[in-house]
Amino acid sequence: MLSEKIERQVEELHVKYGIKTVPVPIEKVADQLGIVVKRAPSVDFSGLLLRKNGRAFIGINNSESSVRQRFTVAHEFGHFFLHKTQEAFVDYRKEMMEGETKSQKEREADMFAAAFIMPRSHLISDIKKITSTSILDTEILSLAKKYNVSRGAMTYRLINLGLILGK
Amino acid sequence: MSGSKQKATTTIEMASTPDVQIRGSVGKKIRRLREDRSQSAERVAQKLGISRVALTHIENGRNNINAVQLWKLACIFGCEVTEFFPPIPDGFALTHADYEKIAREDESAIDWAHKLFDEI
Repeated sequence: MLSEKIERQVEELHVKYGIKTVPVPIEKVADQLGIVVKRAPSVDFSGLLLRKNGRAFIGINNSESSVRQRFTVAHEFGHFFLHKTQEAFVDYRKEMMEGETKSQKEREADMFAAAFIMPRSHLISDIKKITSTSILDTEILSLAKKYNVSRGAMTYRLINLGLILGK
Repeated sequence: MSGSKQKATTTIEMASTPDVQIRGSVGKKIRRLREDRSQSAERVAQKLGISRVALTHIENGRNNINAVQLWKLACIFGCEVTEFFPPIPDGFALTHADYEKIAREDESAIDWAHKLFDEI
């Protein structure tokens, strides 16, 4: 399955770059990769990636929330590692119109980003520590804080991993 | 305004511009590393032995941080001191051809790309 392939790839990268703690230090990883991350406000765009000489430039819209910016950096990492034949990516802020679906590459980059900043093994062990019989909103919120992601992103990730039930 | 006064002002502006940029860049980096670790400004300032306002001024690039405080920050964050600084220019910058590649994805993203990367 595709998502499993991406999970595995992310786990290998975490080992390679010595990522052992959450929140995942994405800026440090960018430095390790020789990726230059720059920020500027934009009405239309959330992120962009441009490859150059085995390295890359990432642009992030800093008018968005810090958790969203983190996710976008990780999403651009996704393009960097997964879509090596394409040199430039431009990612948009706007929500999808009805009937519109994200392209395969965008969905893959989203999967990569979620796996990258909410590592599966960490989440599984965190969920095990929760003693109450059901996972409550307050617990999702505290996990979101711990991983420095939005509540929505955390909820979606937990559902995808089968750690909580979808609504 | 007298000629000599004007000259003095110009000199100060020229000398101070790069400093302001480096200070701003170090400040932003400190904020980002702190936020990456979900630590409050209050708590970090306390550990540094400065006020929260002083830390905010540093993060906004208004005030300089000294070498001792920078070393302490690296200890608090568990990072390298070099991480606070912008990269030493190494010629890794965008060329016209690079901007063209972005334009091929979406022409309307060009202005934003210039805002992002022109100063590198």
